Amino acid sequence: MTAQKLEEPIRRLEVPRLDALEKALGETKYTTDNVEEDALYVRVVRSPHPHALIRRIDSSRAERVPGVVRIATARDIPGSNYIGYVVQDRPLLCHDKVRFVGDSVALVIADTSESAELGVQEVKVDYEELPAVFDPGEALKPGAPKIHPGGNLTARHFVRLGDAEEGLVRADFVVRGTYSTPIQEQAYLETEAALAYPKSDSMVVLGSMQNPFMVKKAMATVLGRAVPNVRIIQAPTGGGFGGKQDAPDEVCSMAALAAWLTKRPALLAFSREESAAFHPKRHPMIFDREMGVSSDGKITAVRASILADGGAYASLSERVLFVAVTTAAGPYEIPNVHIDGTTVYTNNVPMGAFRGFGKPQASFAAELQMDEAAERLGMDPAEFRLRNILKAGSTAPTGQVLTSSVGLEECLVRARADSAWDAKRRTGPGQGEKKRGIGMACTIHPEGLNGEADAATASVEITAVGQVVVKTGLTEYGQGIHTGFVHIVSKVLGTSPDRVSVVMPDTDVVPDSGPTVASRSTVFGGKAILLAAEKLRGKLAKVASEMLSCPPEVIVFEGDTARCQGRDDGRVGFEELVSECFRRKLNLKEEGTFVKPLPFWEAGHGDLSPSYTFAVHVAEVEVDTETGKVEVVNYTAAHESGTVISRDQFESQIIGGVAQGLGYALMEELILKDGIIRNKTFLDYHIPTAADVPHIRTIIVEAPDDFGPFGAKGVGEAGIEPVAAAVGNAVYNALGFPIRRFPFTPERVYEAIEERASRS
Amino acid sequence: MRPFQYLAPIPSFDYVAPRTLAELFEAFNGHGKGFAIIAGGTDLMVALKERAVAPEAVVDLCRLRGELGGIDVSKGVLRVGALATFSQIESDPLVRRYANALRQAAANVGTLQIRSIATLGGNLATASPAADSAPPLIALGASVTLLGRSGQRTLPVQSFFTGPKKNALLRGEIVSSVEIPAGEGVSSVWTRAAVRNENVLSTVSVAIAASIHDGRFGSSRVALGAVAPTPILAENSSRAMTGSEATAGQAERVAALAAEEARPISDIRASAHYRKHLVFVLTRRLILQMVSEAGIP
Repeated sequence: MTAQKLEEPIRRLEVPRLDALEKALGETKYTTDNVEEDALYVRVVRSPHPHALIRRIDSSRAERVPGVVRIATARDIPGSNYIGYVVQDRPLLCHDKVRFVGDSVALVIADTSESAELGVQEVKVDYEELPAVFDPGEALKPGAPKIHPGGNLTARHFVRLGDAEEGLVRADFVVRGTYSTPIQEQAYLETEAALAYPKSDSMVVLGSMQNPFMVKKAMATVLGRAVPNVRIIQAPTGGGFGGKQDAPDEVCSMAALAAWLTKRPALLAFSREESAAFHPKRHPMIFDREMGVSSDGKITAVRASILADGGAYASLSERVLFVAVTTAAGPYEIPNVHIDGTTVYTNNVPMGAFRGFGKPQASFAAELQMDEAAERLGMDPAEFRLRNILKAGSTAPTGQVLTSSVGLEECLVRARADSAWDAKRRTGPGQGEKKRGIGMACTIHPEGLNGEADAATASVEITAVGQVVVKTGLTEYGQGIHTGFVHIVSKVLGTSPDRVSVVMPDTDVVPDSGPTVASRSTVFGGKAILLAAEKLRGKLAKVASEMLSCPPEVIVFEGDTARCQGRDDGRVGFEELVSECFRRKLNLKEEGTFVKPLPFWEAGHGDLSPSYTFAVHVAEVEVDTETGKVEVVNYTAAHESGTVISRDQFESQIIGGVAQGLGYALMEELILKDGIIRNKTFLDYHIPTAADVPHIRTIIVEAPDDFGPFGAKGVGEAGIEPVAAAVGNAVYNALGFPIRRFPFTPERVYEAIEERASRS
Repeated sequence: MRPFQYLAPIPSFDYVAPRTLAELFEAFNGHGKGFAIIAGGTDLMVALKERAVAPEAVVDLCRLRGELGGIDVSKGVLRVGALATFSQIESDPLVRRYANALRQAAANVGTLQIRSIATLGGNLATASPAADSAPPLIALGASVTLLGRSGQRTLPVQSFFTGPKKNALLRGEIVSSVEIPAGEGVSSVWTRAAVRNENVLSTVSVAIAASIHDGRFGSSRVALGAVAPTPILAENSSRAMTGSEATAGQAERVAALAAEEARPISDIRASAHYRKHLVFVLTRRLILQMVSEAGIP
């Protein structure tokens, strides 16, 4: 299969965001805007202890609180209590023990939120506290408190290529360092919410989520045979960033359990504090990393070990670790690679999926060390990268030979030029207390579910009045994907975008298109939609060819008409053509399925993905060396994601990713002490405001590949991946030494400066 | 459909919006058990939602703008009414002329939305150690007028604060205005350090008011925020600055004294060590800025 050549760049067909106007007008109805009069409020009784046995749950007093309808515990679950994406280790409601502060123990179901709140205070849980472990290094030591029956090891992964030992010995020098990354909170605008409606033999749940079909599966597990049919409807969802990949399984299941027990609609919605306590975050990771380099600037080997704190439950830890391990060497040609990764259970809040999924962490360690090596070489970091960068034909550090669509080098060259890199590196940090610095970082992003087979199905249907309806299980939660789908369909069928609509995902209505994660929606969902739309175009072309008397192959669809190529005389309007199809009783509904087979991965190397996305970012900072405050003054982001379907949306994904990445780089850090989150609200968990984000210059490099629709690749995550590293390298350039731990808060940067001064 | 409310509703309370001061004190009297005063509400609403307070009545000052609002100068005193919002203060020409440090602080409080409704009187009455308006007022030698049924009394702003979230107001008293000496030739400056650029608590804030004549500082006052249980006047530092030469060397010495006077705590926002260091850096920078603005080479 080859990429379709478009007659004109698709970007000229700009489509406004489908949801923009109604959101701007405040008309969008989120889950909690649909609460009916008879709905019950559900509140969760949470563990105050990081690790404790549950001796007894006494709900008798709570049951007597006026307005409390029912208390639910694990005993009331008709199916299985254990759910989880990779490992089913997380009880919906804890019955024997709790494993983190905030673990769910019971549900209070009441007429009003006030009664539910009072009821929560009256549920008496008798705990026997257990020793807890919060440090991932401690968790694997003999004698450490055992959090799960199988111990505290969640998963290990590794990469092996060549002989790293040999590569390090042969290097002219080796740079070594320990790099650590913080816990980041997704901080989506809309906190978790689910509204469950019991029907006579089914359960309907409306909720804020990324993956309705995963929720359906989890709910079938929890409700078991008690409810033969569950139907999940995704409500408009105010952000996810991976945080709503698996957490909604539990939130929706809890609401459904409450509704099933009481036979009344039930709402569960989290406050900001509960949201912070509950859903999985970005893993903090520690990288011990060494890199061998020859005097001519070639990397000879990378050896690294990665330790991730996965918190109390597995969530996506195993997958995130796999991605971190397989991208830890960076997007460079490295003949000898030896990476070991471990993720462990601790009694901290669980960690899981978050935009970037292990790559922001891996990129920080790899890219900082690249600059440290460049300094040893006395070589410009851009130049050093260019000597090692992956190109078409390169062997990646995972052993895969990249055949085509590798736009990394062009990203680097253009980001370097547009950011005035060479001049600014020459100018240097300056003399005053405010030092300037400029830094660069690269990222590589494999397409689709990492290390897994991947597939998506979607349908496209044309109605009798010429409306085009797209059905997919891929959800819109702020990223703009449904608008992207409209682009694709209207391009294939030559219709105006207004004709095309995308149905809100509802498991009774739309096909399962796989989860809305991993920057896969455009590639997998988009391709499935494209295939369905092409089938429809084939049918339409056949009818049009008879109507216009020319072969179907030369029928051109554009401007809501079909015509014969090279002929101006005859054309048929889209609606007329559709009417004719209906008159002929043609079925104008088609499905498309796009499959990525199970990648080859064995003995620590293999082919992870048929296609990769690349980016190179350049950050320019001003560091106040007296206060430690880092100001990002300029930012350039060059991305290669194949063909761009919509320039506006592509750029906004990058800009959003960079802004969130700047938060990660400069200020975002969930602080835990003895398992208790100290900054659950936005008073002390700082995310950037508009005043903290500079103008972001975006550069689009197009290197279409043979894989996605029109040669497009994903863009949702790459924007955040290299940001902390680019900022870290800019700070390094300003100060003259690297700081191997972030976020670069004023105090942390000042401490590093002070420590450096006291040592010299 | 019913409107979703995550938190149980705030327990009900009486709401009174007196039209005159007499009615105001009447209202206080009528709710002896517990009332809260609302002006902009940016602190009270949060406290109500967090159940930090559960008043029997909320007395709203919104109809008393005639008595408690306004910004004017007379007889060498700049009077800022307690109900003046930060937006008003930020854009007021008299404040710009006589109390530049207060203008700078007002322009940096919270967000535009908060500045549009939050009042100076409320910021003082909440008595946060990090209140951004306090160091400028202390540096400018301002006093605060407290009004009660039986009359009014005046306190230096630094004496108004008695501890974290504690002030000198007696039951039935309100902050009615702030009086700032409107001296010609006095310049004042304010700055702060924070984790981000907007909508953030100050890690440390510093304000200085001084005059400069013939290369020397006249009467000078250095005030600090977020480094002690209350906003404070750095007395040793102020004394050392007064009469000293307006030079970089003196700036260093005065700043070091200010850092010594700071008594910060370590918390998740910053360590005591870092806060003291910031006091030094910010104080020195402000003095150097004053020196340079005075045209001293």
